[in-house]
Amino acid sequence: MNTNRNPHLTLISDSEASAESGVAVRVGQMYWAARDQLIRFLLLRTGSRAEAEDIAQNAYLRLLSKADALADANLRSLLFITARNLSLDLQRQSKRTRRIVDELDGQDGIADRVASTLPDAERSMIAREHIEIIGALVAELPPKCRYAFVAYKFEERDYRDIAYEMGVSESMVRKYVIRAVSHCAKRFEELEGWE
Amino acid sequence: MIVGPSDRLRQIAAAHMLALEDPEADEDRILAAVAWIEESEEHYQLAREISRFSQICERLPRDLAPEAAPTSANDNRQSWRWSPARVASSLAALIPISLAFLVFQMDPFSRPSDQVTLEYFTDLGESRVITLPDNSRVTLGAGSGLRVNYDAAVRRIALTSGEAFFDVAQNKDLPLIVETGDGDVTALGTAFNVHHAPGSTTVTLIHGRVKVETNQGENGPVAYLRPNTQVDIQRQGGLSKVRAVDGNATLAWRNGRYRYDDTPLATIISDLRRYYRKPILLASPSLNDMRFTGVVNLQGGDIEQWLMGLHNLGGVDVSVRDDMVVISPQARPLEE
Repeated sequence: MNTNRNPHLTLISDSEASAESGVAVRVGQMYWAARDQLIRFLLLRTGSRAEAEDIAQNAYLRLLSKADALADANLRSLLFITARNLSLDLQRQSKRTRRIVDELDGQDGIADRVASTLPDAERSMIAREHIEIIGALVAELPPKCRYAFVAYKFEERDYRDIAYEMGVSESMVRKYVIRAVSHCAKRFEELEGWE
Repeated sequence: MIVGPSDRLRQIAAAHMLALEDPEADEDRILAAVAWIEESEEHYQLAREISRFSQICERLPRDLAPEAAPTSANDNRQSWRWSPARVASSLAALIPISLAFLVFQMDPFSRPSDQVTLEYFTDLGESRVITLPDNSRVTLGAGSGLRVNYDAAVRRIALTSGEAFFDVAQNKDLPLIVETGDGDVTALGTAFNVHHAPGSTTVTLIHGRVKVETNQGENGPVAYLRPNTQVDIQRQGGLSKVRAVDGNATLAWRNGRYRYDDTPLATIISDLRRYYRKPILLASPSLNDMRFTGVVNLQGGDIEQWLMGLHNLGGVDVSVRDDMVVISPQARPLEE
């Protein structure tokens, strides 16, 4: 039995006719066929193409490292699920980092903080406008919808928590957030259409 | 909130996008989201809209994000704090709370104020299109600044420097006034261009009707423009004669070039400064009135080429250095 856990070597060596390397080859073939779609999907979950490509690569390697356990599984589905889980990890990590940066920057003026959160001056000018626009859009929402959205998106509380506080069901909170996100995204696109 | 058919689809996109960031979503839920998004280009683009907005929300520093200030969960009279004092003092811009004409869409329990102020800037060489809350569209030229202030009675825009093309949404009850610094342009459902030059501001009407006045307002000269006419508001006060012009030629900058017809060099250099990253120095005031007719393309490389070409026209010396461009009068007399 091949105890070599290095995914690259597993793929390259084709002298073993074991089911294990057969799966690895299938994973590889599936990955290269699905990669463009996967990255396109990941662009919805990350801020940049570089991050999307990174996550795609890591999802692939993860799958390879579990090759012996995959057997009849739908490889493409697993790839996407793994990729989205990795994107979620990245999302949480960024939030944590931002919270720390915010605390450390507590002494600076607001404008400096906006500038320091973003890499370059041009984007910090854009951020100033975004702050105003998002405020206006959030104000367009009906009260309960607004509350649920702000609590979920900006205070990062979970649905259960918000539902308890608002005295409504968790699914109601999700509906509020869906409505809010949908409305604001549409209005944001209307206001900020770039040429 | 009125919901139309594409809105329903967008809500579905939002539901799927939220599922994708929900750690408790099971594998079937995730796969359903992926499948929906991949199903068509329309689905993907709606998901992208959601994604774009979400990511911008996530990038805001925590304490600048909107606050929720509920009293009891079942109380409809919730008030929303937006921390205006903190942000306004640092950003020197009023935070918009609501827009008068959006009040009709809002829940009666919310408490709108009746004013909104937004500011926009463009970088050197960068122009962009902005859609204002009333659906007016402004194409803001490079190196320009715009401040928008709407209230229940009037739409006010200040273009204090640079250039912009205004495509004003029709609203006869709500006039739109563009304050240029030298004077005001009042418009109802029109399209016009405002250009700051050294010494004056030029307003060119493309279609509709505008009234142009100096800072003296009704006490000073006033001009009513018809399409394809333009007037200069003089910095020292007063208006030039209204002249006929090819309106679309005036808008050539939106396509990345300027068309000049017997235009003073000072005006040309003032325009190019907004599109070119190195400082351009006109070394002597005697150069200000040199006239030029022709087209200047506004890509960085083209501007530099044009400046070097100026050198060959005679009468000027152009020195393109690493840190700046210097235009000075030629030592020897012009050769005819």
